[in-house]
Amino acid sequence: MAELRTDEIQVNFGPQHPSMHGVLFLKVTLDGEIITNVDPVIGYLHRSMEKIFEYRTYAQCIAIIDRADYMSAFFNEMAFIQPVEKLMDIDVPERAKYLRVMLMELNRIQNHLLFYGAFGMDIGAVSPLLYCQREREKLFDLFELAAGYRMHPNYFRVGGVKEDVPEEFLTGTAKFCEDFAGWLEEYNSLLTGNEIFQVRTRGVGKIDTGWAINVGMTGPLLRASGFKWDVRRGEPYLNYDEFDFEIPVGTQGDVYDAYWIRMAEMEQSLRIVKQALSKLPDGPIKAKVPLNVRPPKGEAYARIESPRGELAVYLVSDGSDKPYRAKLRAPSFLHIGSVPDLLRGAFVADAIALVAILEPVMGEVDR
Amino acid sequence: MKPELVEKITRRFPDVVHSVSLDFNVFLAGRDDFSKLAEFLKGEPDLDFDHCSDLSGVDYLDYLEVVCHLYSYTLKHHVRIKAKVTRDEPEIASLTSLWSTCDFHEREAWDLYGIVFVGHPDLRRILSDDDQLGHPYRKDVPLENDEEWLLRDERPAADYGLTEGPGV
Amino acid sequence: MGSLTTVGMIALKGLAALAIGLANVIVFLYLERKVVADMQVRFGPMRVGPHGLLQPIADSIKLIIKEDIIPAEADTWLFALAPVIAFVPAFMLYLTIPISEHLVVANLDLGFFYLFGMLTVVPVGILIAGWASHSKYSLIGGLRGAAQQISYEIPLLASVLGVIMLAGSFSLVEIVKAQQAPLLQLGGVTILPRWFIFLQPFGFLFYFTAALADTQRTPFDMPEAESELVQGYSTEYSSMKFALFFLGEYSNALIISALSVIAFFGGWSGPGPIPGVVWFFLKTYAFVYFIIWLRSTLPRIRIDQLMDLGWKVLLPLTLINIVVTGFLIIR
Repeated sequence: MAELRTDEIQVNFGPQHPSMHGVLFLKVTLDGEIITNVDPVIGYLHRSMEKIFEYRTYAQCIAIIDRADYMSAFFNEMAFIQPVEKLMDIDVPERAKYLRVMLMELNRIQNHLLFYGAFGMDIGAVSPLLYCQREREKLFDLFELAAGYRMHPNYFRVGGVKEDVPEEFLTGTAKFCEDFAGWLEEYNSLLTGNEIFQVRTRGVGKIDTGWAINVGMTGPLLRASGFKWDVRRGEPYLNYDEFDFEIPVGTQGDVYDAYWIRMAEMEQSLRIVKQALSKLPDGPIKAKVPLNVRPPKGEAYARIESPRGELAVYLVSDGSDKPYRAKLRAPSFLHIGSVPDLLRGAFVADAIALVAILEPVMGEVDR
Repeated sequence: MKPELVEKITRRFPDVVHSVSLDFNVFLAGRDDFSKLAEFLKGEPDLDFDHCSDLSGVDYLDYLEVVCHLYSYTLKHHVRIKAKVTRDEPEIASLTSLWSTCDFHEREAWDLYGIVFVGHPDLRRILSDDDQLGHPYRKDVPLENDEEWLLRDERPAADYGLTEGPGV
Repeated sequence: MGSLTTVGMIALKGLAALAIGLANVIVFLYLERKVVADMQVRFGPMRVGPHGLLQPIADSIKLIIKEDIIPAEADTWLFALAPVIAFVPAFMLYLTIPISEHLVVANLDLGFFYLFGMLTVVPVGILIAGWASHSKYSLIGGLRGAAQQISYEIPLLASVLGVIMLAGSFSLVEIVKAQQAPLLQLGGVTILPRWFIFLQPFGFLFYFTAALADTQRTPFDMPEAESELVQGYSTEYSSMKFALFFLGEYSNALIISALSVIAFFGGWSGPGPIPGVVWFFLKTYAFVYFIIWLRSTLPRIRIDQLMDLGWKVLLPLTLINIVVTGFLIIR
């Protein structure tokens, strides 16, 4: 009996897509329901941010870099400011450090909440996206109290933060911390324990630690494979070494681990925020540096732990008030690079779950 | 990084220039030594740099530079290696066979700076359009479009009032 | 002359049944949006008419006046035929569903048989739509949809066979009548009527699962998963043809709700002075609410897991159910 000849077809996912991942274009070659090859095409959101940095002062750059990873803006600002502070050897006052940590961890919670909603949407549950927005709205309100803006806060400055937070911010944050544990339970009961969700996520995909390190995965994905590495612990910056928090680590490296780690990280971030609130000292919120900084000639590289992974900025300064070269090392950029290996041999429906787990934000992929 | 390891590297590669920049040990290698140095840094058990954190290009007007940051999860030390290429001879060996991280980073450096990575499996433009002319991040490319950089357009140049220049 | 008036009467009754069916589909559309919105802590349509009551009418008008686009490479004749094949059988079923003891247009003796026979025609329409659209997405969606529907036809029919055996007839009216007798009495007062849900609980479970999969409702709505294939087999359709697919889908969901009421929950029977029609609609809409509830809560099952469920789990279980029921009846 003659063999039935089957053809591979090429299907395009994106760039405009009803799914949540921004302008990501995947050229997928399918053999039936199995993926044989993926070619990711990016650059739809390329705004040549790094070239613009070379023509803007450092204070202006902070406003621009907010727009790179627009979901976690505070982390972008921190990543940019750190090498500048290293070059200039600035001592950031304690109150500024605590405020920075508090806002960054609140931003991490907000980011992981959106992951929860978007991931649920990709798996097919339409309601989590609406529920997570309730808490995100509260967080947006807190950011507005602190920084004046909801989404692109432009709040951190070289040497500290822009201005002191009002009293409502501190009381609002305390109230948020109280309410959040209850909401987190609700989210877990809606999605995490659901049978269908478990079947869709357990055992799907396998992130192997050796491969992950080789391909440049960092953050929750690397921790899902079982490798306990967090920049906040491994190379502490600001005053993270004074806080008491755990690093959740997965065992299987499957989609469920990558999901569950982010839910656990939200709890840990909440712990950090509570500790920061209780220990917040009085004092100045900015070191005595001019707004228009001129770092000495040299280069610096500093990295932080963003919700997506290791975010770093390589800064080359030529002594003027504009950076000579500021390269943003974006974790999502490398995660998209790992997509061909990750998706090969998977079902189409699993591919959606796997790309969702990478949680790419095209703003930082393309810059 | 421990001083004896620095010595080990400089002994093995006598042409490599070592300097210290803040908390990083920087090794500036020649064009041919760059990939050998990277291989050495990855392969040696007491160096064991398994994580390539970042690879970027920088334009220093006279020359282009490739900067690579490496980190070791096992030994918890980091290093920065560099190499210089020129606009006339922009070729340098690719590090993709050592760390797959460099795949996308090198494509970006080619796209935006024009550094050619010999041995890269698929060197094509990644962030700019596929038919982009030139390499946008170089310092001689202006930030805003002016007439010379209307790189690709459907309408003839005469429509814009241009009577001479590229594209006419 | 007599036969002409009879034909006229039947035609009138048929039109009335179709009109009632259409009206209920419209109510279903409105309910779906409002109930899902409520479960997502939001309002749903509020502007078109008070509380958005005129929204489905606005949607229908919008769909009808849109431009009818046919892809250049599509097979025009098949492209136009597909929605008709997918829609007409679903609507034909309204003629056989009894909403009360005497309110049925065609009380067929082979009620359930006819019903499932009609439902099996729908995947043909979906396949034709996927093929004739000349688009990769539609083809994949069409194949998925047809495969899913065909896989669940057998468990669907098999799960109802227990009920049919207990009632002794395929006719829908007879099945409801067989549930009128009391099951549990306490001093002359009927506590539990002989509804087949009490006699065939597993049968109901299998039926409901198979019905959800057959009509492609969540959690089995993989063929129309937005995040993957845009709209699946109906991607290339617009205007009236799309409206027909849409109507067919919602009509199917409504019919399976009505069928579960007829087969397992006593149809139009209910205590007290409330007329049977009202009971029937109350029960049907309880199921409709449940289906919508499932939609807003559950994630969706992957296509191969779906196939596994249909062939490896539901099919053997429904066959066992038939054997056990038959055995218990004979004893």
